Amino acid sequence: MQTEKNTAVTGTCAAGSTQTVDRDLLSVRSLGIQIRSAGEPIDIVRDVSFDVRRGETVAILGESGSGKTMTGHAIMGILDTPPAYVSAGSITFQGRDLLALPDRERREVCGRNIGMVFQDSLSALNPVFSVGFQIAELFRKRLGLGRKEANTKAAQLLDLVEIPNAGQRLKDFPHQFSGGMRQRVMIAMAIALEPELLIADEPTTALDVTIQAQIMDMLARLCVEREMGLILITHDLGMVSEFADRIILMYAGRVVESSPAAALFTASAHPYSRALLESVPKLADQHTGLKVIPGSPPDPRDVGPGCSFAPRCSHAVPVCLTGVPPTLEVAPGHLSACLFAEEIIRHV
Amino acid sequence: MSEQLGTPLPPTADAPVLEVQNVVKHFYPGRSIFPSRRQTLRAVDDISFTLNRGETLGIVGESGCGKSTLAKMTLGLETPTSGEIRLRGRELSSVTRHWRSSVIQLVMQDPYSSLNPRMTIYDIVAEAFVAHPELIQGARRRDLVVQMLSLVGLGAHHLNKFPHQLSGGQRQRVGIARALAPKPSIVVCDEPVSALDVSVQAQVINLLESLQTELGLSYVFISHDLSIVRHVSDRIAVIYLGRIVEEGPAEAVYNTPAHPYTQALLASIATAEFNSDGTEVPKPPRIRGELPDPLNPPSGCPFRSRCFKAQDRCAIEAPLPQPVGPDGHQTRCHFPTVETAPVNISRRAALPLTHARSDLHD
Repeated sequence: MQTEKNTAVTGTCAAGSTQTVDRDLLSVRSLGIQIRSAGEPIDIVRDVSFDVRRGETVAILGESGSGKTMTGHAIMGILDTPPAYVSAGSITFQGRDLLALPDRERREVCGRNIGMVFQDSLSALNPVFSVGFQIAELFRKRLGLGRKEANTKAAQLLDLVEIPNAGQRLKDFPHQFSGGMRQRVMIAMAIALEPELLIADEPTTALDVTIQAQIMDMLARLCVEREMGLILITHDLGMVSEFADRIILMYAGRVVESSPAAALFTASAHPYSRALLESVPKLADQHTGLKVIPGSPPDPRDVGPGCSFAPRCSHAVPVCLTGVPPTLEVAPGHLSACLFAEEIIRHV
Repeated sequence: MSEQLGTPLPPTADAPVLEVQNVVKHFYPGRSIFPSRRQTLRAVDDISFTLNRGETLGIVGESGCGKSTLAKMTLGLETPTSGEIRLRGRELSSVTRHWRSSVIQLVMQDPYSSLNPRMTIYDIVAEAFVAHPELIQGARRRDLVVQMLSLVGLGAHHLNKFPHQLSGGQRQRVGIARALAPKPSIVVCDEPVSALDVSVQAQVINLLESLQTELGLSYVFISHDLSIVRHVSDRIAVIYLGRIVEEGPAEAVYNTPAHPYTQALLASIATAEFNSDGTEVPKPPRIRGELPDPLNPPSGCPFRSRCFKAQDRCAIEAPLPQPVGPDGHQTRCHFPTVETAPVNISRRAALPLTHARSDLHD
């Protein structure tokens, strides 16, 4: 009963702020995440800032270890604390600072207004409950619906994510679904309470290309229909080019470039994005010898004081290794954290 | 064994190093004591191809289509239910394991789990020379290991490290060094870069390509990443539910795909392709539905349940391979697209980054 009252209060509160703050959903400012275990704290994410608006798809693009997943977890409030802590910055969702909220309210916002889809759907679903039970549970616990009503809503939801015979499949267990279908179930659960923001962490990485395309098309459709903001965390350049409105490119815990999606591909302004694009084989070329980025991403424990890409960068000059490069706006809405951004963008 | 090693090999110049003929592999999952309930899973259903010296055959297909079973059979890790596999002219079932492992080797997908965490890099690579002492020929084993590591671009200072001390790309290099140590002529690469970071993938792909030219290797390259397969392959076989639905030169398969499945597969790739004005390159419609249950595949053509061209005939009659272009470009479809002009799939170098970029990388 207690929880139900709380639900009602925060529910109206959230609805109220939606009206006042028109398009802006999420604003992340100078976010820093540290891992504090034995020894010196390790900075995993440094000075990350970006905004997400309603109906907008923002892709956080980066290799493994770049801090993209940690950023997503920090927004959702599911960082593994300890050892990971948000060490700096703010996360404002619909005008409220999530980091300053009491735990209970924070959970309410993150459960209801922000949804999350995880990469590994098999381990994210509970193997001993039927899929229908797991979805209906959301409606029963969060909205206080009766069993029958919750089941009907669960069936509608499975139908929405394009699962054939939705009504009958409610009784099935996660292992009876294919990988693609499980991912659809995950998405259904994430959007069940009609969140304003969805965070999808590598939603299609484990799936076949044909299924990837289907899932992404469906996610894109849902975002348009519901005017939902989407944070797409991925390492797949092709996927972001097709589905993102904005791209936040991360490298070793920092945002190196932030731009409208097409600009990253046609007029990138950072040596890392340039090199990354050139190292991916295109369907059009064959046996040409790929351009290579020498070395590998740095260990977060020994990132130098300067630009983290400098040791692998062919543009690097001594000053790159000593100071963090300023973030320059090379075009409206197109930021690059490189001393030579202007020069690089002109190279097109 | 010595007799086999002593047998002169057929001239390697043009003779195929690997021939796979009408290979079938059935599995019997959920074995029942009642014959009527026994089910047959046709993992590989009548697959044939040849691989020539220095050539790369790309194998493409969704998970569960049988591509890994096929790879295991060529490595001798699974026995075909019927059909023949010949390595350098010899029937695979008649050769010794020792000889086989000196001819065909495997590079595995996941460099994190395919290297023994308790062995040093030296031990891992040197194992090949323990199994094949004839390769040492008076040299020091350590020198040979160093030589193998330098071949894949790793310095001798890595010798006493353990796998966890290396990065993903370095580990995959160790995996390649280990595979190449017995001097094989064929290397099966099962998703060799899919576990690596994008910026490191290119290094490994380039290494595999330069090793191929240097050592005259033949590759069977299995991947779900169609753009990487296209990049490395000379020929490509597209597998669907255990059958090759289309096979041919890489250029032909990608530019003029004849089978609706190949077309759909190419359409499904999310590509980073933009026109010069920043608009996205349009693409044909995508494939619907999922892979059917392999225990209960559709009658006739296995793809008909997802195919936009399917007609009554497809349900009755399984299509046989038919030629659709030069150089052995063939497909199993009753209604293949046969055209000379490229279909709707973009083949432009879409990113205008090509000139004046050499300064970034040298």
